[in-house]
Amino acid sequence: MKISKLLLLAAVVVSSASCKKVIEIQETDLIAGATALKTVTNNESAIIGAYGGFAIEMDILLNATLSDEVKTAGEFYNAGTTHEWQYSPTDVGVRDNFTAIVPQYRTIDRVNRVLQALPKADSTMAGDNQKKARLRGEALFLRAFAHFQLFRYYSGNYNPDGLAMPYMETPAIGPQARIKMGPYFVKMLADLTEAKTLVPNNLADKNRANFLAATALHARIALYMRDWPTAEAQSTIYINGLPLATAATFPGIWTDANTNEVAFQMVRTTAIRIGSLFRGTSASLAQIGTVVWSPSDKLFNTYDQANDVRFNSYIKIEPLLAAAGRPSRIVQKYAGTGYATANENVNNAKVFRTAEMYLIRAEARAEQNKITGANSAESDLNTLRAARITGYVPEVFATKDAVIDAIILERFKELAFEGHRFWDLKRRGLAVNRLPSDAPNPTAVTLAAGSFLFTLPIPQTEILANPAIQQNTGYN
Amino acid sequence: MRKFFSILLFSFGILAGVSAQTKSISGKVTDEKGAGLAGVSVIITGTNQGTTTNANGVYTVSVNDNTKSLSFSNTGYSTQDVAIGSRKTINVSLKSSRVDLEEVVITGYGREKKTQFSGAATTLSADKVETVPVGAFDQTLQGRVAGMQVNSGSGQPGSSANITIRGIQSISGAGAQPLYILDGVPMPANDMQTLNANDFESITVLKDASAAALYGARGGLGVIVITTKKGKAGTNNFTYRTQFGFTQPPNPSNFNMMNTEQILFYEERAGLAGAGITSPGWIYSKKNPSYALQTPAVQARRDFLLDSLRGINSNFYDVLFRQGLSQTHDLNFSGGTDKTKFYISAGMFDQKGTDLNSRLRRYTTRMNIDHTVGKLNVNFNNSIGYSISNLTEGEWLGNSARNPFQIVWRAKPYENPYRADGSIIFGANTSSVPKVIGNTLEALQNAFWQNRQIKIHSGLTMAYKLLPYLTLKNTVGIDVASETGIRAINANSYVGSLQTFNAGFNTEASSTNALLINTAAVIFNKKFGKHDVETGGYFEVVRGYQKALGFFLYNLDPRLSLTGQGAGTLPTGGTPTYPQNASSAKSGYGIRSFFASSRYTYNNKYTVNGSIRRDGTSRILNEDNKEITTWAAGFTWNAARESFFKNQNVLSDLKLRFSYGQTPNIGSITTGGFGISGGLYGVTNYLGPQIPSFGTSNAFYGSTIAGQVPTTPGNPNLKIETIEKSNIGIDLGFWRNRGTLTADFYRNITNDLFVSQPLGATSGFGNTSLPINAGKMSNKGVELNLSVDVIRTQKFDVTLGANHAININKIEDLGAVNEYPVGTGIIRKGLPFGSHYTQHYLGADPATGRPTYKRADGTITTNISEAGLFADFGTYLPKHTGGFTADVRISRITISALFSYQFDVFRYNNVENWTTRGISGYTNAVNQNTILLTEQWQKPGDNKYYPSPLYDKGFTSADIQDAKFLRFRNLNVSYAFPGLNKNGRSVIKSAKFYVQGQNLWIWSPWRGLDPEDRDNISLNEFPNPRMLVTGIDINF
Repeated sequence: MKISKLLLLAAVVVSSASCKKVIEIQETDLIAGATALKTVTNNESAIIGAYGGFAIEMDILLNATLSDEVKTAGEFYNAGTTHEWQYSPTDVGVRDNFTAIVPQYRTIDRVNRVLQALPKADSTMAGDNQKKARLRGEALFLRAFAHFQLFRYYSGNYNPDGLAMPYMETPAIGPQARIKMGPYFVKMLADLTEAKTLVPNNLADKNRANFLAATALHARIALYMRDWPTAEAQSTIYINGLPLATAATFPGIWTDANTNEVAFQMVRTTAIRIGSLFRGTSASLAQIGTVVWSPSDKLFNTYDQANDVRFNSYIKIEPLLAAAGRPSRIVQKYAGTGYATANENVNNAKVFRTAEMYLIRAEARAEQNKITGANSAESDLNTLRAARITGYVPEVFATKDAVIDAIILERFKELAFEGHRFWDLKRRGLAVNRLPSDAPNPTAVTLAAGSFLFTLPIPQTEILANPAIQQNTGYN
Repeated sequence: MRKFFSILLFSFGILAGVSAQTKSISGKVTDEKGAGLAGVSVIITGTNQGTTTNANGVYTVSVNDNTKSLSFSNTGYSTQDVAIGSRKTINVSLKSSRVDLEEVVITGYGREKKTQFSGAATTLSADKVETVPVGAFDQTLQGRVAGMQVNSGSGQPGSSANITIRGIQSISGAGAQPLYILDGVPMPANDMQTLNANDFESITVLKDASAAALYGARGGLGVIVITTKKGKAGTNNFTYRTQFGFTQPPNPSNFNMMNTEQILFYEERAGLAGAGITSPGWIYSKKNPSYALQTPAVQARRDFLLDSLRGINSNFYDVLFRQGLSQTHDLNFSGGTDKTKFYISAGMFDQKGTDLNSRLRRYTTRMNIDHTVGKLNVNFNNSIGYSISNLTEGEWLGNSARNPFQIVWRAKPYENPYRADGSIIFGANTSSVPKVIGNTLEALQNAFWQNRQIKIHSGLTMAYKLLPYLTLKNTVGIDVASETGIRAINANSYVGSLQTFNAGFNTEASSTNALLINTAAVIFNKKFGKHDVETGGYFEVVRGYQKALGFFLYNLDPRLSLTGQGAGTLPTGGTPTYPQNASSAKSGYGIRSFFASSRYTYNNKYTVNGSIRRDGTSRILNEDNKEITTWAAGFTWNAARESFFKNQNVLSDLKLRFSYGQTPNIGSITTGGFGISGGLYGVTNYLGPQIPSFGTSNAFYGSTIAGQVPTTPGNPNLKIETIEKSNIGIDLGFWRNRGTLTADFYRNITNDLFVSQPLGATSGFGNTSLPINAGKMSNKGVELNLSVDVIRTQKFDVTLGANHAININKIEDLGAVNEYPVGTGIIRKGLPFGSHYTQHYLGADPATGRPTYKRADGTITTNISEAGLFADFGTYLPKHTGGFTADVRISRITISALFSYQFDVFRYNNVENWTTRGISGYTNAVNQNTILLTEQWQKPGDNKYYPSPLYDKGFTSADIQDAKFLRFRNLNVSYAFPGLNKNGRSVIKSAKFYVQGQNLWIWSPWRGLDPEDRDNISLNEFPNPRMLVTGIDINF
């Protein structure tokens, strides 16, 4: 009896005492929370993960298909709503190809988690503190870049009172409202300015952020902000650090034989074939992949085919296709290693090039009325053209409008299929003017200057999930 | 029924070890109506000596001076102990034992008198589940309890039903199961295959807040409390039961699949229409333009091939399904003294399913002991079981041509799976030489998937009466399921040659799930005159553990099967690293609860009860939200006890019940999972959805450093959702309770609803969703339960029963958003959960034969991308559920029938979608439905439902069908044999022979095998079998 009584009491006491921690049980097998970003090395992995989410292929496709860079080759065409500017917030063409909001904020969230964890990360290994600084710099660079991309897709031309997107500085899951471009760009430039002081000031690793890459981004941002002195100053730093390629080395940039002019690139493998944006991979020489997009006649006709080194690097007239009775003008810029080979259509994505810096500086100088003479828009344009065109005779420009027109045309030629054209037209308040031969139908020749369609709609899925976000004008 | 016989045998009690008899007592035993009861066993309490009553209910028994009381027991009546005192004549009136179960409600923490119970609960006696030939007892509950929807989704022997009590109460937690308590110890749902339901005594379903109050956060979705059998003092009962029978596939006839002649005709017709048919009906057709261009030899060959195919008309249903054998054996022995009672049993269950590979074998033992020493009572209940489940590849494969449940409808009837010698024809399949059935059969022969489970369920309760009105009580319980699984494909087979590395595979895994509970209580219980007070304080801890590990082997040794021995090496594919083909994980959780409950009853008329509790769990990460305090209260008015009630004869009982309370819902907290190699088992990741989790990423090619990326953002603010439950109930008894009616009206509101809400892009996780607390959901309903003893005589009884429930579910609020689509449905404020959401299909356009749909503005379009999406096609959760029963006893023959039904329920019929799609892709790969022969558009002007074979109608409202049904769920016909005596000693106390059928018939507008399932869509399902068994129970 007594024993039973004691046993019972003992059971009660033991059960009560052993249960203090029962509501504090943690997951032991989960790579999550503080565990995931425990050390500096873990944070570096997270930065690598953030780079993995960053891409410019969407920019390339959008700027080609919404502008006058390409025409449908007639072999495969399912981009009617985008190529013919028929999109709405629910458009599947925009949803499937141009939902920039998801990947850009994904990158931002990835770096924000690093920025949050980094100060507390264990730094016991040699070089950890140095690496910590670099990682912070890379995170800030990517955060500024991704926000700049969001601005290009979803905001009108720079105006401090216009709507930018939410600027995310910490991970957050609740609804977010858009902020004005003024404070948005202040945050972006603050991130970028700090990043410049932290990332390596050398080009040892062009796959990751470095000082010149941050400088180039700064120059590009200044261009979109129409902050001409900054655009000129930043592009000058880049040009001084990384000269133009020669006509001899220029083709090697596009075969990845060299990385001249490039301060920052995204390495690509068979997992991401940029060339497949324009032409599918081939089964054999006899079965070259489907030509989805051909260079537009307008672009094709702007080149001096014989003397301009860019023509053969960017465009090809394929006799095999012609022989098969197929559209034979194809985009060559990202053709990779040749038809039906393993690395067909595989090329690295060049994010910043010296040529773009020359064109930014030329435009900045023109806008500051440095039209002609030394260190002018004219000199920059002539330097670039001389590097590309055999036997080029320098041109003289009399007016600002003339030189700016020439610069925009040169951007069309130099930066074709690199993700600039549509935004250049938007930025300069120009219309998309296709040749009738380039348009899929007569209603898709011109997108009027200043059309609301230059700014993409916020996707309906986002409007449903984030009731605080405002739709862009024209899409309501 | 079992109880009936155990008591019956008692009546033939053996007189053994007779001692000095000094006194003779006699009397008459009658029923409630005063009629003499024959065969009542009269036992001298504490011994196994006694006698039985004669045909008139008269008995005489000799007792010695020490005898204090007599025990009277009989089939279907409650046992009565009567003190002898100085009396020589003792007349006894026995009460029906059916009332016995109705008098108490077993809440798991105790037995509450029904007259004092304010909650909503339904109690079923054991005879509803025992002897029903199903491997998991929860399958037997359909149609039995008003407001409890029981749907079985699989015909695999031993697979559990899906149970929903009073509607879906959570969005993220939709499909979470109620809490199961077996003898005071919880056990996991969906894991019943290793329990022997023949040991059960009662099943009580607790539906409202007051009834489930003592389970708190674990009982948010209702509680199913099971008790097992106990021995009875003064008896020795030995029972043997056995059962033989069959499982049969359901009748397939209402799918109307085309036969060979029809499908060949259809292929030709679609081919002529230009639909791009590559099947023999078209490519060998004389009407095919290419026919005329062929040489006479080729033409002859085509004619020959087509002719040969025409000669085949296979019925794959018979090839892929079988009649399975089923048998059970059960032994139990129970008895005891007034101090010690025991019940021990052993059981064996073996059932082959209708799928060729499915089978459940189960071996169980049980030992229940109840011992009282002075003020201490010890109760020890144990069940140990071992089960071997052979599972079917079909349920693993899902959407696959190797899935027998799919291919049985897909295959063309002109496939011949067997050669003349009976061997299977298998190999590469083409549309003109189909081998899909042959390949499926070959795979079934060479694939193996088996799960072995050891299950221990054990509970020890010690209660010590410190004072006459104060009891200390502690229950400690263990539920452990340890499993090993194997899934393998022989290397030396055609299907094995199709696997990675071309030589089969062998995956094995092991998993252990353990649940421990300790409940300590102090209970005060005292009556002061007309006042009756009970109050208890409880402290309870629940701890769960999970662990699993598994591996995957390829490139097996073709000489062996079902083993990893001899497995060869694997190529690395030139990469410097190689993947791990093995993994393991572990996890666990805890719940800690403090609670108190009190009841006060005045004069057995008015009862007020209340409870308050604080539950905490490790399953919530946020420190501020880990613990939650809730309360419940109830009131009962037992109007039948009022004096004004005595002046009438119609109503014999009237009770009103009111309850309100909040129950938190731990069971619905969203969890993640850790995958285990081979996929046989998983381990629950309890906190994953609340913490930002990371995974490796190799998407960056510019560095050799491995990347990691956040995979879920985690919601660190998650808290427990709470269901506010109100219930008003009325219990009516008519004509001395020969008729009873129970009605309950309830309203449940789920607050802080768990919602898997789409995330905005700024979260970094655009186009994904996260479990959050947002919004509100309501379930309102009515439950009715009616039972009438139409006839009750000595020789002839008829009892009819019916229950019906209506549940109306509505999403009241979704927090920041108003709607979001999920799969084929939509979660939208104002609509019920489970609403279908799709294009509205209108039929074929008479002019062009294109499919037509409704636009959002109501106009008609032939372009599906312009069609609007509508949500007015109903839900897959029935609004009405119910059942009715008829029990007829004619002397020794008893007939019991159960019908169950559901209506106002709609589901997608995916199989019919495939078989009525008509276009080339489906016609070439899938046999088609005969409806296309008459209802398909063929030429301009045709007013038909199905479009031209040139145009796809897609997956739309056309595929949503009414899934209401009325099912003849169970029929049991039994004959009770009288006992057998030899030389004055009872050899057999009683015996029963029965024939039973389960799922006998179904009436439904649904086309297909079975409208009943747990989900929105019917595809690739293992149909519920019909079962026919005969059995015998013998009581020694």
